[in-house]
Amino acid sequence: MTHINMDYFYDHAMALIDKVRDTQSENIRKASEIFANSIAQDGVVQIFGSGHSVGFAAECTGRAGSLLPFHMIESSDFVVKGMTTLADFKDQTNIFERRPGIADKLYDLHDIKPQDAFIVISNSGINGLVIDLALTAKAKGHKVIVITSMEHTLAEPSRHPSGKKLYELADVVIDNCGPRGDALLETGDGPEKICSLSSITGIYIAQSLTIEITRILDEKGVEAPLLYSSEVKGYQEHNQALYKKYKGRI
Amino acid sequence: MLEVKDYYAAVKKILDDTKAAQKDNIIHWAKCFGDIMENNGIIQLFGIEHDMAFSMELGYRAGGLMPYHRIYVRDLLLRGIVKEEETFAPDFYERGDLAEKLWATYNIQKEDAIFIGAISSFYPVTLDFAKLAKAKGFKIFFMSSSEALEKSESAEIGKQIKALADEFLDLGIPYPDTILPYKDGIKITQAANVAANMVVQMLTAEIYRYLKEKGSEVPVLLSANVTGADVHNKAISDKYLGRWNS
Repeated sequence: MTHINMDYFYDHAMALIDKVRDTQSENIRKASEIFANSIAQDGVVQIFGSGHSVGFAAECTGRAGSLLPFHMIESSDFVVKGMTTLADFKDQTNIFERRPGIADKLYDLHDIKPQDAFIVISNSGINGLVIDLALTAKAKGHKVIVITSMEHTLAEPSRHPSGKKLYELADVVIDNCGPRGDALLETGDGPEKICSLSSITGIYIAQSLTIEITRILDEKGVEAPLLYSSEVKGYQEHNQALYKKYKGRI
Repeated sequence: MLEVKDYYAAVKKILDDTKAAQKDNIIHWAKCFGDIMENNGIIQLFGIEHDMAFSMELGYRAGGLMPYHRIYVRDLLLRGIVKEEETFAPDFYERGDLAEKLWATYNIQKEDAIFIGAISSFYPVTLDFAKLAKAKGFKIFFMSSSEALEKSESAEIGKQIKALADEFLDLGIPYPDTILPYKDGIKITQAANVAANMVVQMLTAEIYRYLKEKGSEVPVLLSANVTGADVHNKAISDKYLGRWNS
């Protein structure tokens, strides 16, 4: 018999979401202030996450009921733009996301304006590419918000030549409250743990940002650039106009 | 006024309701998936646009199970099978050749099964892929939402996918998937991905339980921080070389 089952996961998952809610609301609000200021100046929120953190970016971009000016930067853009081969990108002996010194090229691939803000997501926050991208964004004067697991990042040495970790570069850090290594439930069978939660708390954070940014823009008297769903009269015209405004940037 | 706590309450209700309504179904799917995995099969994960979230949730991560493979339209771009400009076309997912191209890209074997997630929007490429799978004799697991299958603009495509599926799991997401009232009839935020990810994690827990209680080996990926994890993970992933990491 094992104590692992869907109810056991569900209870642990809800407890961890509650922890994010109870401990990170203020950081989410601070991050939202930065993003709202950027959007109010026609800025775009640039999102970058490697590995499974790409899911966070997918949660924020191009959906009815979301803010449009969010743009996902993907490390595989290097392959799409012909700057490296797929074989090099997938090289298991020299893992791409751990390499330093390539993020400035990734930055240059996109139409990034001075008023844009960045959100960089990494559970461990120790790998070369995410740290370099945050350093590049900071050097160019952008605000950088980091989502990471503080428990994980504090337990691991940096893989970046500077010795820095991602959270140290942030204007605001949001802790996804995930455990070290991301695997959540002890099975009692040696080191084996089952299920993970960083994507789920990441979604909670992403949705909370949408709410807070919209509220802050409202308070500033700035119309929130929201994509409307099919329930809203004239949604197609509204959404098309919004896409036109940000064309080439999202 | 917009409040995060209202979003939390609304989503928690959806999650609680879906968990209660789908409990038996999740346990049933877990048994099916466990049997497929024991028979050397891989669960092939198919999701387009935002529906890719559940596939990312399951594919190769610490605390997850090994025998999954993610079918990813961007792979066609990364391999030069389609050009970037082509993917910008508004009717890209309607192209009749995409499903065949995807199938040809991967090493899908007869022991495998197909897990399609399409929660609110239903694309022709998804239907084409389901038709291919059916014609080739694969079992199809379809995770969607009943309300979208009735109300979505693309509901007819969704219904055809459901008709091809062997198993159906209802996430109970409203249509449209917008949760929190803002103003002038506008709603913001969504619930589909949080529900989908919670369900597939519950599925993972139940597969673990099913296999463990049968006395079978469970192919759990260890965190890279655990001593010996690399050796363990390589040992369980090498069994599927060329099938999981295409």
